[in-house]
Amino acid sequence: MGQLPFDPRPWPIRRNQALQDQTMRHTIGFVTRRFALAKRDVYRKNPAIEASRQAAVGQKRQAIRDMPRLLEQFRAQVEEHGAQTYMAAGAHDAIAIALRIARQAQAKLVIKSKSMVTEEIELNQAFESAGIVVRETDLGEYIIQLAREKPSHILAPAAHRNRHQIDELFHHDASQQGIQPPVSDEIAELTHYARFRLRQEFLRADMGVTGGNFLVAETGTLVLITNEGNADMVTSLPRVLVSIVGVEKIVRDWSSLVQIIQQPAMSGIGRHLSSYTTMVHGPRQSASAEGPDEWHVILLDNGRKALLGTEFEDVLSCIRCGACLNVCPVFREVGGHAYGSVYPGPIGIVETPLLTDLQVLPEIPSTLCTLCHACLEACPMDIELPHHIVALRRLKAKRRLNARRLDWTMRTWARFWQTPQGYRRSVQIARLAQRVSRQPRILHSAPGLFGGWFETRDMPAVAAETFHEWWPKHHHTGASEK
Amino acid sequence: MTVGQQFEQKWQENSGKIIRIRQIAELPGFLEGIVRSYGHHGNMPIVMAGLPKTWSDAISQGSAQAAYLWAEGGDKERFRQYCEGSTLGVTGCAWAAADAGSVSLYSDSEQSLLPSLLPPIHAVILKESQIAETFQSGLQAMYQHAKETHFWPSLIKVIAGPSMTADIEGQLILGVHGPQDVYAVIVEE
Amino acid sequence: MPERQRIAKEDETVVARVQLFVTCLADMVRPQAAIAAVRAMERRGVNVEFPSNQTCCGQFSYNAGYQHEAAILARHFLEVFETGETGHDETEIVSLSGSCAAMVIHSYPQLLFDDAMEQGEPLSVAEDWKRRAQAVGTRIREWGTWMGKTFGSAQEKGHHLPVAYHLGCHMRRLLPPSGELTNMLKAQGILAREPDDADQCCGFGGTYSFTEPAISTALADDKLKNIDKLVHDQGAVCLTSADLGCLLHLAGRQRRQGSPFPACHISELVDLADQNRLTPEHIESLGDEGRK
Repeated sequence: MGQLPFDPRPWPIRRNQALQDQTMRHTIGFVTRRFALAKRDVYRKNPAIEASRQAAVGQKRQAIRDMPRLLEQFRAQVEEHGAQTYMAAGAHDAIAIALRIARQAQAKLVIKSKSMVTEEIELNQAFESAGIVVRETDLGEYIIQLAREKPSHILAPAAHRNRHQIDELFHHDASQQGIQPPVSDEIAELTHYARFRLRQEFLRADMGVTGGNFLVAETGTLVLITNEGNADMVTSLPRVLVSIVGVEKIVRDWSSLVQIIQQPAMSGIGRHLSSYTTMVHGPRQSASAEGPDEWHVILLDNGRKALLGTEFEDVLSCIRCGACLNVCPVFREVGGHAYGSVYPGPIGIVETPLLTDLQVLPEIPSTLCTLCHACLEACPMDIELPHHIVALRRLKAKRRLNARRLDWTMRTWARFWQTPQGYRRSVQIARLAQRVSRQPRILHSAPGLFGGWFETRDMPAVAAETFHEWWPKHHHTGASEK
Repeated sequence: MTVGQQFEQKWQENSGKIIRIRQIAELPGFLEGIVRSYGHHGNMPIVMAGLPKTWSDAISQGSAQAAYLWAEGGDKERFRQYCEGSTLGVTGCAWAAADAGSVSLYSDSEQSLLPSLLPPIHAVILKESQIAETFQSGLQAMYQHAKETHFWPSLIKVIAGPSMTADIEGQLILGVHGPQDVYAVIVEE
Repeated sequence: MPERQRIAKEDETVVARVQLFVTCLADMVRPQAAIAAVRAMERRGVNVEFPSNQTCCGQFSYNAGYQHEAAILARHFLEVFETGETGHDETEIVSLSGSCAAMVIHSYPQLLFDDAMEQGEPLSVAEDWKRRAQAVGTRIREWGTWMGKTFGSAQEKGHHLPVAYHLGCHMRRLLPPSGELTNMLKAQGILAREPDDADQCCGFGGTYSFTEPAISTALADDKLKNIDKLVHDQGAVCLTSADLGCLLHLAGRQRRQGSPFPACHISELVDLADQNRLTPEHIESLGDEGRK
């Protein structure tokens, strides 16, 4: 079972805070719609992509099934290139390994490119407690690091903050650092500040940390995709490089990589490629001007392998493109923080409880999905997200993790409606209730679970004559009633 | 549309800029123009890597600025400092892809990635014959070559546009960490 | 022989036979929709059978994770639609909700298989349920799409009344394309306009609408904002949909906010058009019929 960090505040608090944050909702709504539109466009204009996508899905599924063998092959390959590899069963193991490497290297300043896995294992906190400064260098990640927050979107971690709020954070940072603050809160000026500020640290850092988008077993290649170029700084400049990558990132061979490598950019931001795709094969070769002297690759399980062979196995094909977040109506309303997990959106409500055997945030498959199926349509890896969400709700019902009231309502409902007599009786009961509560035509309230509806909406009362009651009069033989 | 034109179009879609030259002698003039347009008046050096000697010589001799070339056996610390203090990095590339509008650079004894990373402007010089029709076919060719030579560069970098971010309010800004301007200089053969 | 079949035969205008799945929501809170659908079909010579033991498809329970409860209702559904007058032949089942049709087609086979296995039935029994579900699944259609397909869109009326059309998520993503439905509406003089951001969920989501009212309502408000835009920019006179759940959710929200706007099932518009009564006034009074 994996260990995942989570926001311990109860769901209603997380939800209400999100719904009240109009700045965040506006920005998230804008960003997600733009990404989703760009994705649709790039697929429409380039019909040839579809064949690659389908090939990538098949190959990725197979790679997941062959994961243990492929991971061994990957390790052998990169070790041959001069890297060191480690298997980390859980978050704590990965942290322990990374800390050991940092201490051996006497690292004081660590620079990081964007990595969901290091969010998952809470690497920053662990390093800071050990007295090592960790600097996030993706602009969005840097902003939320200053704000001491979690990412609100996989691709745009600071999508919940506007320029004024970011300007304040930067001013505070500048006064602490004793450097010039941003000239104004123009977005270009804010970006310029971050460039200047982070450049100094890129040049000083002893150690770099990256995640990874793909691991190629055949060639021993780590692929990193960014738009800012920070992963290139991290892989080029410090003398020690640590890459922490989820085991599910494995692909079998180069030709699998060729089919899948453009998917994150195409599906996530609607471009053929992100600005930078970096492939690392090993530490610096002696004649090169850049690259680390040491490269350590930590392969993280943290609950992933437990999904092999289950109905949820396809979840491991996720390439973290963010396409499901960008189309999810609920995500567009509440943003990433309401989820309480480092993995938000449709993939997050599936993956978070799954990796932790429903120990972490078991409510989110129920509270954050209308089952609209937009995520399934958007997912380039054809992950059966709605199906899994229903399956998780089923697991919850089975393990009695739902409110008793819901259990009772569902059982009673089915008991009544499994026969036509019971169905008719339920109509009579509803009519009686409406009479007693003096709501003859439009209902403004109802008891029990149904009360939720009436917090915000009305509903017509049960009709004076239902269709069932009308039909025999219309067809006065009543012949169809057997 | 030729492969070269397709590359040109896609590179520009990716917010890259294009210069076509007929002969290498035109190059220093263009590069001077680029540096001037960036508004640098101090004596910022040009850093170069992965260029044929005739090209790098032409740039060194034709520019008002000092120009440093990464070469086999070079001092990597000093070269990094030059790159950090430079306005313009000029590199060659291993290959380019028309459909993605991308160029690929390998880190090795002749080619350094730093000129494409640290200065605010990067110019990559390529011949039309280096452009693969698709990114996928280019990757396949690269693999074939690596297999035949039994050699994988330790770092490979594919560039498809300037360094960019939309992390603040979704607004696109160029030049976060890497260059804000990338020029593809196509040398017509 | 039932009388209506005899009558239809005398007319010699029977063009099709269908079983009607009215759905629990239409039956109980919007019977006018079902009545209108029956009238529109019979007017066109369709022999409509209503297997009156039907209750509900069970989607409410299924989506909430109550597999066994859903399976109880699903088994009942199969029994009802297999044993109607025409249940054993290829008779199509027309559903007054796209979402319920999708439930039968996509979720029943596995649901019934899994539930049978979990209840300790032998594999052959589980497989039998699955097979029966698949057979019924091939027969079920959403009403409007079926109408469009069966009667085409040849006889165009000259005038067009713009309406705001909400295509529910399950119809949009889980059923075959429903272009025939909007073409059929157009032929009836009904111009179905989709709001901006049409492919975003309205927030209904079955059980979700009452377990998570805050988010459900935030989504409704987004949808209603775009529908309002249709009203102002294109003069849409009402909101319509082939899915009553979405419709009740959106209309219920508007009513609570004190700005009720006519909302009706597509069948009601077709019925009005048939009678040459497709006017904003008649549409507005739709909600009042059938509940005197």
